[in-house]
Amino acid sequence: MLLGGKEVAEWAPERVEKSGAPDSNAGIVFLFADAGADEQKRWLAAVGRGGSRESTVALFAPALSVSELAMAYPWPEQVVGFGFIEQMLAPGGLIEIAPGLRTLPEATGAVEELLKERGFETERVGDFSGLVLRRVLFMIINEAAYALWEGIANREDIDLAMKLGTNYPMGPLEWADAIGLDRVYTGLKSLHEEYGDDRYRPCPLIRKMVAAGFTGKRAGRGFYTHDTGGAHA
Amino acid sequence: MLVVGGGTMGRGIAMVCSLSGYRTTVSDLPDALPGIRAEIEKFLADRVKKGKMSAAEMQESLSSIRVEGGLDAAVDADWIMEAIVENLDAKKALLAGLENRMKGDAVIATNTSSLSVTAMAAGLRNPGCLVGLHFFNPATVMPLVEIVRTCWTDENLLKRAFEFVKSIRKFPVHVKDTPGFIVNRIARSFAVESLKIVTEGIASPHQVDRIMRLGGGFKMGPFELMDMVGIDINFSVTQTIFRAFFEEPRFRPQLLQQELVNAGRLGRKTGHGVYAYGTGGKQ
Repeated sequence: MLLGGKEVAEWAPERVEKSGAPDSNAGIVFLFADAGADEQKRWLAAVGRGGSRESTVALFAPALSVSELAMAYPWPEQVVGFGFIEQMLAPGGLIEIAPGLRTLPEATGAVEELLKERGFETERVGDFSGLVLRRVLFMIINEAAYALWEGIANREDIDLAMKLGTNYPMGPLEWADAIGLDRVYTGLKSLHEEYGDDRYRPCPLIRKMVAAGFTGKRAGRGFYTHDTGGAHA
Repeated sequence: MLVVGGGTMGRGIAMVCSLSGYRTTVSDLPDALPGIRAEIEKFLADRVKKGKMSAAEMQESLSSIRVEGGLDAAVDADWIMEAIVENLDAKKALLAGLENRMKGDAVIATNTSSLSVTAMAAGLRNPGCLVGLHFFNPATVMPLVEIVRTCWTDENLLKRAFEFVKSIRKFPVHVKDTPGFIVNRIARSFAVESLKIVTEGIASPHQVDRIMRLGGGFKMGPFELMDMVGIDINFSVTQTIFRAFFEEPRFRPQLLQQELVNAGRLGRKTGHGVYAYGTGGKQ
């Protein structure tokens, strides 16, 4: 199966469900269940029912450590974590790869090789919730949400300030809308749970917006209102 | 236009104002004046060399900037920019002196990045005459200015500040007087969370930089940026914001920053920070 561009979005959990089980001949199953730990464990178990000892699972955006999540798969030594931010991944961009404690070097190597074949750069990083990019970015978004929530500036000024004052490629609040506030919230909650450190507690504003369904671009409304491209003008 | 303090920021702000057509005076202590003049000439000569301005324009610009001691220029300035050392007592003493000299409708703007504008304004006869205008380094290049308001700042002054920032061809944003304003507060996570990731052995500085650049679209990785800004400056800003927020754990500094500072590895300026720098750049 392909990774990159449209295929990334297409390879959603629904697709795994529809196709029953992934084709074990594929060798590597890329599992895009960008969700909380419980859901990722459910998907790993589901993939496991149709998998084999030889099929490696590359799990996108592990919500906890790969070591922990992998135990939901019948062959945890075949589970490799990987991560990127969909909106920022250009051809030739960089994807992080994280093996868990039980992961076989061959499994990690196979995922790495496939991504390199597809023209991506890779970095092997430690096995921890959010890996590097998502973790840092979610913390930036969380702080921007706190700043907005506390009323120190409006959303446009927060985004403009970060783009012009420090050269960020996107403003943190528009970034959150593009990624999805539900994903940001899940990521922060996982970090909070894993570390037990209040440093990672998600801003209550994000929680409230997710609860109200204001999850960003896909929902038509997040920190900003988006034209969903539907029939309405 | 009067700029008090001819250090890097003060000079930069003076250049920006002068290049936008403001008659500008830079004031500093007598000993510092020749150096300030030389730096301004160097900056303008550099622009001429790069073809950004003609020699005639340089002469015009030079003649529109005065460099002098004392605060006499405060008497007829519409805008007074304060860019002296980041010390509350020094700034309060200066502001009191300026308030005694300036016109009734003049505005004082402080370029502080780490002090409370409110604490600076308190004690003035008219605390509403002070606003924060936070420029970024280098002021001649960075397009953003944060307009910092206190509980005394009225709408009228905010409008004037907004128009002024636009008149010097910068982009203004509004922010309440809170530690780190917008940028220095939110940007903490970029540096500190990256330091934490390295401390925990999840990735090396080099890996984090590559990931943030090639995966996140950032122009510079956090460690490259820290080396450029100065490890000591980054550490000091982090500590200030951490304390100002009553030790909120989101702003907690990292031991690794302190260790680098203790080791004298302050970044590019010392030839060694997170990375070592030779004559050919990063190694």
